[in-house]
Amino acid sequence: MEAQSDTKPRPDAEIRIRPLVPRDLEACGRVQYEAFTQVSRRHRFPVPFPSARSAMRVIMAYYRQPNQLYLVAELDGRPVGACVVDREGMIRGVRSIAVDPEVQGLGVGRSLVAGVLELCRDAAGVRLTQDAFNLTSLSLYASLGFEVKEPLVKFEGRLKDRPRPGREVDRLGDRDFEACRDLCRRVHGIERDLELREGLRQGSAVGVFRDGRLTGYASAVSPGGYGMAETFEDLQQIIAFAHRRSWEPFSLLVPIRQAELHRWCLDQGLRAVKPMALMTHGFYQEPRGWHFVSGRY
Amino acid sequence: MLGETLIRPIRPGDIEACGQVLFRSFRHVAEKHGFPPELPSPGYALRVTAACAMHPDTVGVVAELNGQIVGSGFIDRRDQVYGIGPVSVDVELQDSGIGRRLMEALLDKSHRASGVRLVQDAFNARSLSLYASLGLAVKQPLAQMSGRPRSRPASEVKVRSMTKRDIKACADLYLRIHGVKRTNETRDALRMRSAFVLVRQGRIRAYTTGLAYWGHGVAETVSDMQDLILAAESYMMDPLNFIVPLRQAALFRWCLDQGLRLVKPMNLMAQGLYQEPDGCFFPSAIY
Repeated sequence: MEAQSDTKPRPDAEIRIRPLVPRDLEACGRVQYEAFTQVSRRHRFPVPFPSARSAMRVIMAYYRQPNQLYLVAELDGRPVGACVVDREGMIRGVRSIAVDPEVQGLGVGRSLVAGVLELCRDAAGVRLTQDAFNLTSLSLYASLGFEVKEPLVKFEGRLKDRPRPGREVDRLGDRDFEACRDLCRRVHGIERDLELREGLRQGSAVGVFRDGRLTGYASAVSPGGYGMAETFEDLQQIIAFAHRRSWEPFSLLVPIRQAELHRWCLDQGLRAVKPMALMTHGFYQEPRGWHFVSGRY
Repeated sequence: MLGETLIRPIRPGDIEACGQVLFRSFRHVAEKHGFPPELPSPGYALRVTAACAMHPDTVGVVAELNGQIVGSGFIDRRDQVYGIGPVSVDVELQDSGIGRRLMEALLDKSHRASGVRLVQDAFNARSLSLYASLGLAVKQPLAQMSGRPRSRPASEVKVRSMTKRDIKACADLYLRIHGVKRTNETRDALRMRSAFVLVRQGRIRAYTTGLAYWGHGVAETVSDMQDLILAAESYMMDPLNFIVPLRQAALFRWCLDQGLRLVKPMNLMAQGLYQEPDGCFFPSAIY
């Protein structure tokens, strides 16, 4: 869309950060769509939303979740930026940070992320994933105190070898909640209940047990979930199990400093879709185990 | 129909054709992803190729198809860790397995190395996947940055050109931080007159072979690195143009605060011996 010079906001226009209300949905859907489409197209990576309408549906889904807060950045009374942030948890995840391409450079993104940090000041940390080719967002987050911790690659496809999971791996139920928390504390030094509860509720949570002990789990094997394990084999088991239960191509955000996991994904014929990065603000512990991340962190 | 691709050592007569392929292929990948080309002109690409091909400790291989040069690659064997690059394959033949064969030929020449390293563009999924499948592991996410820093060098900081007498101390500093030696490359940099050292209390605390794409640097602390960069930059004609490891959050943020511009995302990859750096550093475009 061509920017009209007479509708361009003044550089001194006031930016206000507030929660989303239903009448913002359409404008925010458009902002999400335009922002991600523009940067992805410029660098020739796949566009995350096929249309403004589909972006709007995603926002609606977030909006209905009580533990998510959808923030809107308003410039002269018009919604021009948006993001979703976790309302609870030791570490808060932020997703879908977007600014209308027509007003980029006016400090909207900065105000929005500063607003998120203000909102999460009682949390131990805030984390996000970003597209590594998006240098604007990389420098914005870094200048607000976020640190790059892991280079990631988003992989997509089906596992070529169709590996057969062992008997140690199974779906998890509510009774496994505490064991998952313990493992997460050991591997990442944090508690991460929000997505785990989602995974248990939706039936997507998977775990590996050795000698009756949980040695790995995932809230979901998709960018909607995270996973971790004491050994590489355990993480492979989890991925293989989830893979076998579905016919759909699946995707995974892989921290590629884990060279064996990176190579395994390639050997299995998964396609590298785009490079990304995990960024953190506040508490962080280098993982003491194998892991993959969710779109949040 | 493709003929058989021959992989063979580079000869002086190949340099011009290799330079052209290098320029075209690097420009193609960068422009496809909306980033500026690494080599600004065919002439520049030719000079890079010639410098690699003529260096006594660098080995070059070419890919030849139907009598035409369609790719080349180089491995720098000056020090204990060998550095690979640049590796290029002509635009129409990417994805044909030539890149893999060039890389295998280069890795074949690294048996005596403690390890092999390279730097690749993070947006180049093809090269990232190729190198990973050949056993190189991503160690550091990087970003190329350029510009003139806002601050002036502090007057009490002593930064001067590196001399022959500094080589041993610089080599020891590199060894302390990275666990490997990089002496010969540092000695080579003396000839380019681009190398600087930071001296505090009579001891070298930081050095760089050049604040440029092909230069590397190490420092005991982030603040030593910042002082070194500011002082060395004040002697330079061109703006800074170097590669910053993103996991060194303090250095990266300082570069942003200084008004340096992000150019592109990259990765440092390694095979064999690798130690997490115990100090501040920035890599060259090779490692």
